Amino acid sequence: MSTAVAYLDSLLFAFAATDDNGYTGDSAQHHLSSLIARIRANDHSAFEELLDAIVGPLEAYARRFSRSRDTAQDLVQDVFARLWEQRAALTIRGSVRGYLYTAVRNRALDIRRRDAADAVRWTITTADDVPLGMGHGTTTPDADVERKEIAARVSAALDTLPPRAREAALLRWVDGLSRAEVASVMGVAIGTVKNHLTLAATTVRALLADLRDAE
Amino acid sequence: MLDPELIERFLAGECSPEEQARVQAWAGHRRSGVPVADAVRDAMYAMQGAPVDPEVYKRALRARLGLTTALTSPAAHVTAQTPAQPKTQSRRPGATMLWPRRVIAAAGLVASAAVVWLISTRYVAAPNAERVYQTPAGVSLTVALSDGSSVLLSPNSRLAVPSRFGDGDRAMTLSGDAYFTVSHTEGAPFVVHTGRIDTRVLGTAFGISYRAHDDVRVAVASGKVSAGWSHDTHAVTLTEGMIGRLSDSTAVVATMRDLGEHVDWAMGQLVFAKVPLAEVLTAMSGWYGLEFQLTDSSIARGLVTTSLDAHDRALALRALALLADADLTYRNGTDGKLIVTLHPSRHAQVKPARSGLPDFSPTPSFGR
Repeated sequence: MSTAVAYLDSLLFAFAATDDNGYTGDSAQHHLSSLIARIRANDHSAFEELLDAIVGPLEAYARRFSRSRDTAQDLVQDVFARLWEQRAALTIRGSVRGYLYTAVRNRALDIRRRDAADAVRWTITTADDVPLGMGHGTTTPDADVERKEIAARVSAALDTLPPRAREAALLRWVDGLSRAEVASVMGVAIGTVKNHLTLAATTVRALLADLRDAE
Repeated sequence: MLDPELIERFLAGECSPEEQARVQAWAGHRRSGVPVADAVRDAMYAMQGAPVDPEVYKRALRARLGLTTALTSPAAHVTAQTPAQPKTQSRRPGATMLWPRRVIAAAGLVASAAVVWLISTRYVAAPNAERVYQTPAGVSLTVALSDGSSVLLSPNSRLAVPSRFGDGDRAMTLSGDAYFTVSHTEGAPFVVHTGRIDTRVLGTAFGISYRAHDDVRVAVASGKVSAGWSHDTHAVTLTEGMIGRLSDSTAVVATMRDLGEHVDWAMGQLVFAKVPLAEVLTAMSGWYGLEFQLTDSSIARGLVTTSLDAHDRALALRALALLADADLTYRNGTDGKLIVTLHPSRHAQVKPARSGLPDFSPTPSFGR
């Protein structure tokens, strides 16, 4: 119960902090906002349209907090179940996408706190999840090897960043959020996000130079 | 040196074509000809991982939120172009007459759409309304009832609870498997209808299994229930540790020292005691939302005794591989369902012919 309250609190907090700069005039953004308005009016088809529009990227985001794809799915489901259940009281200022990423993040951190208190649950970790999406792709082995190598280098470079800078970089470059959305999700000022991103971009620049010089 | 801010926008996909060309030129190419900058940006995108099928979410959320089908309510679209307070409007003399016919029709549409919606989600307690909980494969659901009782609904099951539930009458209809924890309420029997069989109870925990055209099985974990035919006074009384199996005409009652598979799924385990592997596969496909394929039918022979983690599909599949002495491969089906193919294990090419029905045991435990 207290988890639910903390969850609501965190949502309220996050959107008190959202400002209106950034991400204006985007038709995709308007579309999401209009879906929210319809959801508030009990329109279940709008709810499903919202799922179509955003559940993929959100699950990808949730997986970064989860030890398996199943737990990530549960997490995203929780967020949408609550969104539907509380639709009447739903007010989203600013970006809908930012709102949903914040909700997933807060929920994930809640679960992490809860699980940390429940040591037994944590010890049952690291069962490899079912390898989904295996055996697809038509690329040549060489290109595959090269892509894997670059992916590993990118991932390693991001891992050298301070955690907050890494989080900002992933939200921005992997999830494709605007700077303002990153700021609202992380609960920090947009200037802080810019600093994190400059640091991360400098690291990527070094990586680019590295990959070029290797030739 | 390139400005980090430019790299930042390049990675975010917010560069002009000229800026993009500048970054690409600066970063150069790989020996393979791939522009380094593009390769790095693509690697970031690829971190999103495998694509997700939204239908999986829709199905799960419909079940969880008690929405039986994809309801389409055009209410909100229409509301936007219709005055919200027709009563206020009509106070002005003649105002109603001035409304274009199209708008009045739209208002009617709003009303009917809203009624359909409200009945289906039980915000309006119409006399015969009921709330239906339907779980798809791979999804279980806990339903909290207004009297404090709860029902854990297993995958592929359907529970219909009348909206008047609790008003001196606690009845519901089940198809599938469910585990009930019933709070005691004086003078209000708790009744579960399954086909022609009714199970009545006053404060207990029990499981019911019923699939259309099959016998009804009732297993009691604690307390006492009475199971009998609708519109008939005959009934069997079952107490703790008993299982009743009722067909359309006969009732068989057995006592089990351990209720095992009949209720253990509610405790987070799928328990099988000397069950043919083929039946285990059927149960697993429903529970975890999988589809199994066999490259060799001999794999499905044999009896299995095992306990599988009900909430960890990966763990359960690893246990299955060991039990069936099979290698598993995975691919995604068109409907988003994971298809698991069992191949005879490569390590067991030379094995003794299976005589009779071997009994695999005991519980495998991985990663614990």
